[in-house]
Amino acid sequence: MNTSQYEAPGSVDEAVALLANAKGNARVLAGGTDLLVQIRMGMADPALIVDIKKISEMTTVTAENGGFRIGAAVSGAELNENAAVKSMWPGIVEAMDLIGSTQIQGRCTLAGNLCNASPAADSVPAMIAADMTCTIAGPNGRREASVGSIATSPGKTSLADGEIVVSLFVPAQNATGGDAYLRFIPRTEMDIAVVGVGVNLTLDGNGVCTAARVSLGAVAPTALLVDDAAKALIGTKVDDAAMDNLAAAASAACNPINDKRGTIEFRTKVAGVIARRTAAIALERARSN
Amino acid sequence: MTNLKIGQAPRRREDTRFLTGSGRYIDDLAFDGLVYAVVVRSTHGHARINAVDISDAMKAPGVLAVLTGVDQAAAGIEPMPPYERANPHSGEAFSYPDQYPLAVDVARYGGQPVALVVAESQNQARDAAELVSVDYDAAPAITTIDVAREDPANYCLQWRTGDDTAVAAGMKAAAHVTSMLFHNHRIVTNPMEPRGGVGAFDPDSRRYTLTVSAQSIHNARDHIAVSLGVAPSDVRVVAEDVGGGFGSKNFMYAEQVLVLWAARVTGRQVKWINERSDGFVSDQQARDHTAMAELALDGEGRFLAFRLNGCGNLGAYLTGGMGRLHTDQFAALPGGPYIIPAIHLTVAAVYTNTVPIGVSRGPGYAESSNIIERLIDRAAAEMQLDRFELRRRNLASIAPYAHPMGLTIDSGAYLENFDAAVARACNEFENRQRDAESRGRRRGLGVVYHIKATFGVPVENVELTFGPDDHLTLVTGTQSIGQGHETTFPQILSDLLGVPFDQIRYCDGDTDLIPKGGGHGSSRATSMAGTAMYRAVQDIIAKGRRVAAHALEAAEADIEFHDGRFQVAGTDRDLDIMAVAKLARDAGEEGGRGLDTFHEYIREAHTFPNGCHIAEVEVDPETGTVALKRYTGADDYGTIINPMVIEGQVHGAIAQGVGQGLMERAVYEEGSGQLLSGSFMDYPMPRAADVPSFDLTFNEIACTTNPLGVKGSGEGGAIAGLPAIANAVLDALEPYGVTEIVGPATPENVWRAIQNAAGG
Repeated sequence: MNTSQYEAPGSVDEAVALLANAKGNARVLAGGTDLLVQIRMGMADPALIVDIKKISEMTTVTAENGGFRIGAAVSGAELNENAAVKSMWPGIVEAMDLIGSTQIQGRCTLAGNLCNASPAADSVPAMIAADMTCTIAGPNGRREASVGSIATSPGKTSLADGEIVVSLFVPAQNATGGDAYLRFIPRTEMDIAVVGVGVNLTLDGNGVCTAARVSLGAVAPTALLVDDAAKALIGTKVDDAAMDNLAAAASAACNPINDKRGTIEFRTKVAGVIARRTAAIALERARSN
Repeated sequence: MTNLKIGQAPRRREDTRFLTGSGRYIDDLAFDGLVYAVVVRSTHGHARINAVDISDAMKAPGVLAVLTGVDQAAAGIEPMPPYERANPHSGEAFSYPDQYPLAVDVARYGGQPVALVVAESQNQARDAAELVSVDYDAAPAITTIDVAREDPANYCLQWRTGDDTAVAAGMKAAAHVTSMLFHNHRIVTNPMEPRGGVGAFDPDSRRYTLTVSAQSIHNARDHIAVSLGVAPSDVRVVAEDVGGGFGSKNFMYAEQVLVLWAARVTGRQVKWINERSDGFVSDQQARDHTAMAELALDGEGRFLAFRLNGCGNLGAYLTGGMGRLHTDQFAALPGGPYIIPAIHLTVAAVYTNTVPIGVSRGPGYAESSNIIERLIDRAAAEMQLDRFELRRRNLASIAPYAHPMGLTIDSGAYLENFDAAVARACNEFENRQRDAESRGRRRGLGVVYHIKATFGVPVENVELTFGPDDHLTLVTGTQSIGQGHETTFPQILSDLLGVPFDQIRYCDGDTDLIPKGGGHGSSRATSMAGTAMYRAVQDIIAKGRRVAAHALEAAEADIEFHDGRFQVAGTDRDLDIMAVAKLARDAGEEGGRGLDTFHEYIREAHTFPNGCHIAEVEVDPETGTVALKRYTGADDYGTIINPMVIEGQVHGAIAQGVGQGLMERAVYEEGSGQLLSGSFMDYPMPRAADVPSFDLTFNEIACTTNPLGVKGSGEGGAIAGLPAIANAVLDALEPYGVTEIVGPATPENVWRAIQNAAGG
């Protein structure tokens, strides 16, 4: 590795300026759990590394409009210890907690998982199901974007040169809403998802689902928001028939690859199974809220 | 200053070193003037090598030498000889291609060494290795046994043994014959410490010294010497701490010759350490065996005859003792502990364009146990008999038992162990099954009775020396690579000689220290070195009594030895063994050797560790996920030296066996011969979360053919794990009509089996 320059600015403006003025390839370092591995394997050779962990705006979780703003450099372990976030959005926190090992949890971040743009990123379907947005800073100022619009294909994002995700915003959960995330991996732990499913649903006083978002990971080039799967739930009491329709819609939305972790046929079928199981947990949470 | 007894469980004294980061593994050792070697490996499964252009590499910074296949002749490098070159039973020579340390004209597997680059630094060697340009003509690669068998030229050996006539008669008389095809899938052993070594050459004595991470260094020395074209006495092999081997470090390797040759060429000490990705394509792999087997039963389910037609994939070359593995271990106890009056085997082995096969924990027996245990479950299903009862009915209940293939099993209590394991494993199984059912899961039990005969090198020796500092030093030709010999061997001596545990030093791992050595392998170490120690101790006591009698002015016949003291019978006059050793040394007894004793033991009988293992799995039929929920064992490893150490051995062996059963499989791409599962991203190994706490008991049926009564304890779980998992999964999936799982019980394999059974 020939990395020449390392900078740890104290503000977002400084970070953006560094990135904008970089000569050659510049990369943002949050936890480094993807970037440092890529550098060591010779897959990345940035001329400039901008460490964002010294920027207070990016390292804090704050309450906002009934929801939370989560800094881009907040680690999985910190999020897991945040009782307020965990209580409102257990699915997001559980998805985050599935990334890597305990050591990785001390470093990895939601924003890093998002911007690494892996189709199998665990936290992304949970964030899409929760309808999260992010604040992006760049040479032309700040803009908002939905989490689902960031990854465009494996390893590629919609961020322009010099742009950086500053924070993620998760809105308030509905009073009778619940979210969940489950993934399927061939191993018992520390593996890459064959399929990941995030479900967020809201019930009315009669137990009828009034709103739902269902997102699938690892079965297409980017995480999917599956409207048909949501429609299968909305207007139902999330009974067996609705669950069957949900599973069918989830399977139908899959466009996976054949690889050593799973064939197309297997991933497609298991996506439906996991969608149903995830929805069952979200339903349980919504009912108890 | 305490004496220890056989059967006690002191903590392993080597663990302080291992757990505090003070282990002396190959990459931890310091050497003067060290330079670094990197192996350039074939990127093709099969290819003609037209030329190896080293000109750019030679010009790279820091490069001292680049060795290639064509340099070997001028350097006097010979092919690496297989340890066994003929069938020990029939005398028939094995057919095998010459294997030079570096490929010459042809690369026969992806990963085969093609060149060695030596440079001043590791990174310089790595960079220069990338500049070695090899001109290959890729050729089609054969990776499977079935394809290899189409060409007689691919055979290493074909051998028929047993009683064909009696088997034919048994098949004819049978009420039922069950037959099955098997493929015991290939595994990569992956010891935690990669292979590595440091070569040195002393131009004055013209002796080579290899410091290495390996398991059986005397054997390696003898065969490395052949490849270097020198006498074994010109080679010294040293191994300090070794971070696991499990069989994959048993036989010699090309790199071991190469670093010695490179040391001679460069005049420097040359170090090579495999990276994990090197290990996947160069460590000898294991299993990969197909078989067609038939079991004949009478109307009551008694076994009448067993016919087994097996063929092993040897990979590209015949390595180490692999010829013997097929003709000895695999052929030793077909049918396991069950009485089968007529047995016939056809044994074959073929070459393919894959990484050479070596041994891994339980070799030969893992294949044969899988075959009989799976066949029994299939037979029970076909005959609608209870599979537990079918086993009970056929387990040998006599000891000694003369197995029809020739070995006599001295001792064992198979039915007792079987019943003990079944009672514990089946207790409340129905409740757990119902509970699983209520959650949409299926539970199943898989029962296996494992047995092996401990083989390995048939000679072992020990040297016991009483030092002037009141210490007893043991030098042994066996080798501890993590099994705990540093604790258990002194424990044996402390018991037999009454010398405090802390006053006993343990030495192994240096071919210059002791003339012979079988290292470890086939669970041989404690029975072989233990017997040598026992007999050496008898000599020491006899010599000590003479010396003590003289010193105590008593008749030799009146001297008793107990608890480390020589005592005049019926008196309080006695001498401590250390005092007697000093007297003997000072008196110049035994040509000045005093009580010091060397003993060489030539194996007189095998030991037969055995036991019943039962796996309980829970299958999620919707995803195919298999969870190992319980694992019960009732094992007989003879007399136990240290129960804690035995438990550790059994735990590790089970993890290895169920790893093959649940997840591990080495996969090659047909045609190119590329290893597709060449990293831990693609090749899973079991982790703590994959196994439950094991429920184990030990039935100490002393072996009658060695004085300590021990049986080798290292391999039972690795033999039982695969069939126990497979039988359990098939039991769980019985309602779905699933009758076979191909390869490990991965989610996708299990899911697919369910879909296929459903006609989907």
